[in-house]
Amino acid sequence: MSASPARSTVRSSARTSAAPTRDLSRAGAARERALRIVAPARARARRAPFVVVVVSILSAGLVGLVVMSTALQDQAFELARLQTQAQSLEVQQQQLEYEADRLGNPASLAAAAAALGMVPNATPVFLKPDTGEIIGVPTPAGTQP
Amino acid sequence: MSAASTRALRAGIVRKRVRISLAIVLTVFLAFGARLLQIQGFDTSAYAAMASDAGTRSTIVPAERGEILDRNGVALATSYNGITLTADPKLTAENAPKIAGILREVLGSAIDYFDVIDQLRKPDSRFVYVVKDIPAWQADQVMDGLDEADLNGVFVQHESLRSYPNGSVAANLIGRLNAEGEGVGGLEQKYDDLLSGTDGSATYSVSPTGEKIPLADSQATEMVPGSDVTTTIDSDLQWYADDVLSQAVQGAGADWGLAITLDVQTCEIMQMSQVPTFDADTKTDVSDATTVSRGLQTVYEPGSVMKTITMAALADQGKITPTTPIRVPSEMTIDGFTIGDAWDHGVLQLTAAGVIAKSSNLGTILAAQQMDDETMHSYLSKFGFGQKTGVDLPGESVGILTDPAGWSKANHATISFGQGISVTAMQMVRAVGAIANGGQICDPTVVSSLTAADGTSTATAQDGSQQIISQEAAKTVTTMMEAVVTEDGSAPAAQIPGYRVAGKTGTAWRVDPDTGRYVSGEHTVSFVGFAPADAPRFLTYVVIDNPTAAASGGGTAAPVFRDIMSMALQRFGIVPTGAANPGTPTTW
Repeated sequence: MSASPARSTVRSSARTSAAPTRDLSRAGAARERALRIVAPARARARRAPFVVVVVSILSAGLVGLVVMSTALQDQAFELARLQTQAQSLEVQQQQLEYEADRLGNPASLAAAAAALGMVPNATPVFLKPDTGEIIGVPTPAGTQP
Repeated sequence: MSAASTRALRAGIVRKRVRISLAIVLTVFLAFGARLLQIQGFDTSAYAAMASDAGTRSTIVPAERGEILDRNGVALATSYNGITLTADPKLTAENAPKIAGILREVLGSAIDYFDVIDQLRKPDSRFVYVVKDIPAWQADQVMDGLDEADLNGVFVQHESLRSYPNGSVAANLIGRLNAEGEGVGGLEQKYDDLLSGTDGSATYSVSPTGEKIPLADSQATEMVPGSDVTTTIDSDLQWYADDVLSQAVQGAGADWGLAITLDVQTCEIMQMSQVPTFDADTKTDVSDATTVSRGLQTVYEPGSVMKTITMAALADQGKITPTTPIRVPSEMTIDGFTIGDAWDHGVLQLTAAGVIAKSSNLGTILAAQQMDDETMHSYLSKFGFGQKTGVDLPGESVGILTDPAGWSKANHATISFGQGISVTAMQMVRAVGAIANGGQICDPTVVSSLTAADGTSTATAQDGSQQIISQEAAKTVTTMMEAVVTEDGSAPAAQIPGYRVAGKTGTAWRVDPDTGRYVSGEHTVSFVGFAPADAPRFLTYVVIDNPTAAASGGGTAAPVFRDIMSMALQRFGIVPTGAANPGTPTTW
């Protein structure tokens, strides 16, 4: 902390010693020329780049907007198409479930089993694995009326 | 005329014209102002609504109705997309035969070709129904066919249709929907609110051509689909019972029949059949006689099945055992009424088990004379007679159990064997279920759980069971009931090889519902039983009303019991103990 003020003092004294010399030489040159009125300097901001930038931003925005809008519209149509497809698949699934439910209901299964010549066994026989005991009298299921 | 006066006149005319013009302009502005005030000041909301209506569309998103499932998750009632086809006769009249031809091709005999043509040509009309309630896939085929043939004027109306894949199986228990889509009868009615869910709605902006405008304002209220109701019914057992019962009712030439199976350990109804019934899927045979819930709404005199309850009351008081000797006379006269048994006999020496096995009215009367009217009434109340069973189905009747203060001796006598008291089948199932379940009575249930659309499942609350008679008393009555299915008893047809079966027959005099009097020669026959008697699991009650004269509880209802019970025991893997019937002596 204590070192820095000392250093700045040294620098400023160096600047003050150099500046007066240059000022004196410029003042001398001005005095040699006559003063005359000059036309005010026109603000020469170059327009072309600015216009290009603005136009390109605008057109980019416009093109973007058109592209985005088209994409959105396109997506809306795609959405509608997919919704229709989903609906038709849902209907198809319902139809298949409807048919499967009816083919799988007990009455249909019983009819299908009967058609294959299967008969219900009214008198099952049980075998006890631990003792080997047979409960019931094994009899063929027989034919159903 | 001087120039000055001419100038003055002209100035006057100009002023006048200016005034008139000003007045006209002011009037016009005033009219504009008034209209502006009307639009902006008074009718603001109406005009704003009109403006927004022009560009928005609102739709109701109907909630999907929940399914009704059996205990294994098999759908008993489910919903699918349906269509009603409508037409504008102005557009269809010309091509009516072609349109009807396409409809006929897809829908077959479901439509009448000539009726459809008449509808499509209806004069002076711009709206007719062509065909109602067809599955969406059939409607799609019809519309595709019409598009291909370039025929216009037929429109679709979307709706939801209810499907009952098993047709008439358990139809009375499931119920059905009326034309408005509300549940009528059974579970469709009982759980209507939960099944229907909450409709949603959607409002969105549309272009003039009807396309939805992306990113425009839209509002949607999500619909909440209905909950699924899982029942305790086993659809295979239910179908089998329906089939067996239907054959028995037809064979006996009866008015109606019912069969209910209860899991006595869990108090779940496994199957609940009735004949005749209706087909909820095709909406056929729907009438008062088929849609009434026989098990809950039909009240009848149970007859001898009630003897089990009388014996249970006596056994609980320690007043009877299976071998208690009872001397049964050939007939008795009480309050001037002569009462006899179903068969002619002299004096019999029957044990209490013998009284049940042979179903002696006189033996039961003598045994029941050991308790007074109030005691008997209190036991009947404990067994749930004269009250609802609490089963989760709508429209339950309480039956008729009169106040004991008004009982005559004859009332006491006849009630002991099930005449002069009216019950529902569900009451009987619950009461005898208590005997099977070691004296504990519980409320039967047909629904095990409700599953909301988000998948959360809640089990329906089961009321705790109540001990109404001692375990020993229940065992005593079970032993007596086992005597019924022996060769000596009234229902050997109820035997199931390998299992011990306890049961009781009933052949009750039938009351004419119109006159309230017994009809000579008309009976209600029944059989209640449970198995295995040494470790009761299922109870089945079969009632067949007004069969031909030759029918009896043991001969007509017991075989139905045997078939349903065997199926239930097999399906649920109940291993027989192999123990023999105790063979309690029936005489002394």
